[in-house]
Amino acid sequence: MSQGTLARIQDEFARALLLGDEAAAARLVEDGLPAAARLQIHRNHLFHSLTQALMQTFATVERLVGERFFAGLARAYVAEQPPRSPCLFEYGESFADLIARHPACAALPYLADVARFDFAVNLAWNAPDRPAIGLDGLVRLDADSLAGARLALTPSLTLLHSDYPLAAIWRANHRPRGEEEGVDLDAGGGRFMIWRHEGEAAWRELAPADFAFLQSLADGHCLGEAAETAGGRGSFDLAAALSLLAGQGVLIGFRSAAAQMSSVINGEVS
Amino acid sequence: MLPRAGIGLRAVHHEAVAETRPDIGWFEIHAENYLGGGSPVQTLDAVRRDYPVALHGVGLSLGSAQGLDDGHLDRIAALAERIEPFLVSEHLSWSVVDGRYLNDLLPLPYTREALDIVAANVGRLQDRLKRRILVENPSTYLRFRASEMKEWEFLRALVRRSGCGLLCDVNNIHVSARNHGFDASAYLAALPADAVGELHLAGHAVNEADGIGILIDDHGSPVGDAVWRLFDQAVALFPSAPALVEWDSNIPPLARLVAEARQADRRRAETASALRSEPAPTRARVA
Amino acid sequence: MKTNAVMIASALAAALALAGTASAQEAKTEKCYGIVKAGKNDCQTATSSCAGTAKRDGQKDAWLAVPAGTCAKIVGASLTPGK
Repeated sequence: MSQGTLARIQDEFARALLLGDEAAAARLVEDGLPAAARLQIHRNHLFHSLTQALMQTFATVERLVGERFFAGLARAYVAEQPPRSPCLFEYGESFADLIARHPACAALPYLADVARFDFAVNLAWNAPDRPAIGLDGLVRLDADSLAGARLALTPSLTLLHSDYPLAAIWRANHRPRGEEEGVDLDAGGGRFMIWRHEGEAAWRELAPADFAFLQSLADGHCLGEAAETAGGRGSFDLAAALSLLAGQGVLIGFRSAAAQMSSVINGEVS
Repeated sequence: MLPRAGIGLRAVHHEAVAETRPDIGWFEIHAENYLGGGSPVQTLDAVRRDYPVALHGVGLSLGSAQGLDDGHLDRIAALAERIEPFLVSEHLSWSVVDGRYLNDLLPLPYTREALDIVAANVGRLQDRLKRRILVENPSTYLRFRASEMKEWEFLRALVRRSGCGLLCDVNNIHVSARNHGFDASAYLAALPADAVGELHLAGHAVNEADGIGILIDDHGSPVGDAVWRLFDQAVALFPSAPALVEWDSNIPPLARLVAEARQADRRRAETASALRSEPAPTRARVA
Repeated sequence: MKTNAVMIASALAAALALAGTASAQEAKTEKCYGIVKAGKNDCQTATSSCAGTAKRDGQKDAWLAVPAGTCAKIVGASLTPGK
């Protein structure tokens, strides 16, 4: 047998399942049921099982648009961007982007952000565990090291700024089926932090300056830069922001282990 | 002591397991469901304190021509280190090509080329985990023209080549035997008995297409009579392999799974006592 | 930068003094309380029972008609651009 036949078969199979390409059928034994019908079992399973997975992760989106419309969106997404990981809780990171540019969703301008919120809640639930450090970990630094410290935040955290009232939409659509409530989009948007807090997926709305502070830290800027950025966004209370960080279990350590910090990292993390 | 049956742990049963701590032999987990953190992992740690746990991979794609994914292998190895499973298993199938995960246990052509690839991937997994793994026979709905050997011949060769063990899924044998018209009992008897380290039990669905019935391995109904009879033959052939009850669709309350595990224990005991009262059975007679 | 560093250090001291008195902050945190639990994703080894052999992508655009969920209950001026 020539080298690489299995690789070719697997490539043909992937095209058969994702795109409906029929070349793979010629590889199969014709025996009773036609080869195309046999391939269809795997094709149906691929789309059905991943639609179910997306439906669980994007439960709010599914409530908003109904099962059939959601299945159509999911089908388009699976064909275009199949999972990159076998862990289904990690699937759907870019589903919101597909919603944002899909013509069928043009009349639902808030839907992409709802999807981002759903994915953030999913991430909050499933992200790896990292022990939080308190402010004591910062106290050991001298003033200059403190200002230059780049803080690491929990991997369960998502920061999301939306023009729409995402928390109200989420709440209204997680009541029993048939009892979902209405939401007034004109109630306005918000800036959300969504993360795992005491074992539960949680969120809170942040003031613009606090949001800018966390966003700057999440982008890898040092504490001094983040404080300056936040200060430029209206009234900012750095003490309150720091106590929020530590009190909510968001702070997990330092991004780069500069020599003078290694003792702190060893002492506080792990 | 006869090995007791276990249950496949699913998210919908996490609370019921924590509350009732059912009297069963062990739990098996799908590794990919516990590679994050938070509540699922906490639940697993609690289960592990009270039960032996077997690690069953879903997404390593042992049949991938492109080889195993390093990142995923690392995550599986870390989980294995954390929970110290008494068994580790994966499937004779593939699911990844060019980094795209197709979320299915896809069939392989049974060729010498595929054997080389699977044996290399199994070897790599065993080297990484520093232990023998079990490879499970799949349910299949199609066959490749290119196949050069039977599935059981492929499995025998794989055991010889890689030193792996086998996870004998009795329902999968029944499903594939019916779908492709081979003798399920002969398949069982052809497996290398000392390599079989675990048995799987599950239900399947019957799908009618153009007047042709095809069995679908959906794990969505009680174990059928024909599969129980095949199980009786399997426990006679592989007496030390513990059995597992699996449900993945229409999942009933935990108590139904516990009852099915007990049924497996009863049938194993009956088979064992029947064998004791007979003069030394040969494998041919049992099969 | 020096002033900034001193300011941060003193804010940290103030934050430490605040520790344990953050109950007003805590009240703003909203939790999902198990709602997500029910929807957890299990990776499976089974084939979907509804997979079957029937072709299911014949009417692939039929869904584009209208969303039929609770989005009818979402109202507001931002849904009618141009108004």
